[in-house]
Amino acid sequence: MNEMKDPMEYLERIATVAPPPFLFTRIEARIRTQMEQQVPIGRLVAIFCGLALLLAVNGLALRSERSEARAHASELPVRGTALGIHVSNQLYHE
Amino acid sequence: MEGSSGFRPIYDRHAAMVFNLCLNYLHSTHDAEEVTQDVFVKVHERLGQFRGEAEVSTWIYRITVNACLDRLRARKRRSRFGLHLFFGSDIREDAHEFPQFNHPGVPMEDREATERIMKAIGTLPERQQTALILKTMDGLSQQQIANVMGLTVKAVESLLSRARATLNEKLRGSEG
Repeated sequence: MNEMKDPMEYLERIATVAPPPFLFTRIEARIRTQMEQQVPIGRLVAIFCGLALLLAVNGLALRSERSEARAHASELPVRGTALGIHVSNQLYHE
Repeated sequence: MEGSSGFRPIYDRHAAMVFNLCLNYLHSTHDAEEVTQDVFVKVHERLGQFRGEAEVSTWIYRITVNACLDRLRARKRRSRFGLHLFFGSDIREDAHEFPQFNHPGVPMEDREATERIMKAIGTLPERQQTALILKTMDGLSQQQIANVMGLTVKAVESLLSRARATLNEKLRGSEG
């Protein structure tokens, strides 16, 4: 090893190796598996739209419920005084 | 399989080139086969996006070089992480980069010397390593290397001369 030739000479002597047999078959199998595991874009869009719709309906329902409760709360003292009822939830009056 | 009619001729034309380039980087038949599979799966995936700005072979060379460098980085990470757990940080970085030298293209009588040279090439910076492998083992011209690496011919020239100088220095250092 001490009288080593030019390293490039060794590298140039490396022979070309044939790829292993059935390599293409294995590659084809991998591509096929990968394609089977992929979720189609149409299905992804449908899932996303469904979720967005669900969120929107929820938001709308919450908002309308809140405004209804607010309107109800503002009417309460008026109705209470008309009927002679205390609408306050305090138990004892000072 | 979709698009396989155009894929098979591409595989037939480039399989040997990809497999040998992987062997020259990874020095292991098993790893070279795995990375060759990765490369062709990627080629199949991106075949529709290939715009034909470069030659198909240049494009495949680029994918192969990147896949090999990724595998080498993963190997380094794995060995560093694994050995640090048991032996602490006092380990030589290049000592376990190539666990088992298994390159069937190396003549028997040259095996020891070539293994030493290839291990030394493995310790070069990535771009020097790539330029040297493409030039000496794959026999590409400087223009072709420039196309694959996205550099100018001048830059490739300087990379090659630096790579050769560093390699000789490393080999001389390991002899003495």
